Amino acid sequence: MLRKSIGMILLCVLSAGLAAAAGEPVPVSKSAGYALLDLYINAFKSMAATGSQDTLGAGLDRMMTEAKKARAAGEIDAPFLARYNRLVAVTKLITMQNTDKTAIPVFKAELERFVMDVLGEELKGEGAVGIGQMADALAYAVIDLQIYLDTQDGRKSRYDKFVKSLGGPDK
Amino acid sequence: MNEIKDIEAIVDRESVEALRRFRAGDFTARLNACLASPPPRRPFVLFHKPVLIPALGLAALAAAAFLVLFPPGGRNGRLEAGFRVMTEAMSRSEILKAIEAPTGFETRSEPAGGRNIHGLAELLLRILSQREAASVEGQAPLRPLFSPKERFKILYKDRAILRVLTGIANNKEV
Repeated sequence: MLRKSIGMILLCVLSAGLAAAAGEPVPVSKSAGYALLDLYINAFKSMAATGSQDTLGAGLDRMMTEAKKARAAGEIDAPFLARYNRLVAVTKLITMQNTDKTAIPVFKAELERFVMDVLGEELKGEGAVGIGQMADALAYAVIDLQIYLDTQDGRKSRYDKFVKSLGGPDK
Repeated sequence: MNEIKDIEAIVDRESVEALRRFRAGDFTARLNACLASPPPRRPFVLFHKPVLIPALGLAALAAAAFLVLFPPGGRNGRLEAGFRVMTEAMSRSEILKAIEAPTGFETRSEPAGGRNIHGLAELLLRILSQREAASVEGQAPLRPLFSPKERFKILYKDRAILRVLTGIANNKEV
């Protein structure tokens, strides 16, 4: 009896470990996602209001940290984390001061790719038009992420329905 | 009197002999009994309570020691854990000096000591950044601040991002 009990306990422990390793889908908390977006928006809002960008670097670092924590806690999913990280990283590139000139071509290529991915436009130089495009792209990316969160509820059922319509396995 | 003593001696000798025979017989009988009948069936020795509890304790200790010696994350994880312990009580400048002094390597500039030194410096700088980021976090609870309408207003009507970027592009405070 004792052996059976111990065997059952070991089996349960092993099963739990395997289930965790298999990366079961975790529920996405919209609240954490919206909070991360608002952390980003609020940074710009306070900068525009106070006229100072002193805290921007620390603010962006905090956004990255909070996003990783939220992902580790299963509050946001991997696509959201990847897009959010890209948004923050691009912002850091744009707002970086005294950038080493040798790195500028790499930064520029990344910014061009970002504008193309989000707006479908080529980045038009570094002047006022370019700044307007970048601002639009960042704002658009934020709204995109909000819509991604808004549509979380029906996403899985729609996906399953789509897969089924293609003759895929029932989920 | 002598006869009595002789008789007693004989009796004693006989008693001793009898006792020896009895013991030998008893031992043989017991041995035969053991060989004839199988030993009583006992469960595996590990499942005995006096063995099981210390064994589980030892297993837990071994698992803890394994995690300490080989933390998740492979070689980098082990290095990082080691550096984390080492640098916990040191300031950023102390750590940077500790690297620069023996190697003559400026940790903030180009790597001068090959890939290993570069990797070491990268690792330390990463830990320092994480520590600084950790000190920034927790200042305010993370919760949504705006309604969707407010978000649109800040992004599009107030054009906060555009104003900030324009200020930065003009190389002045926003």
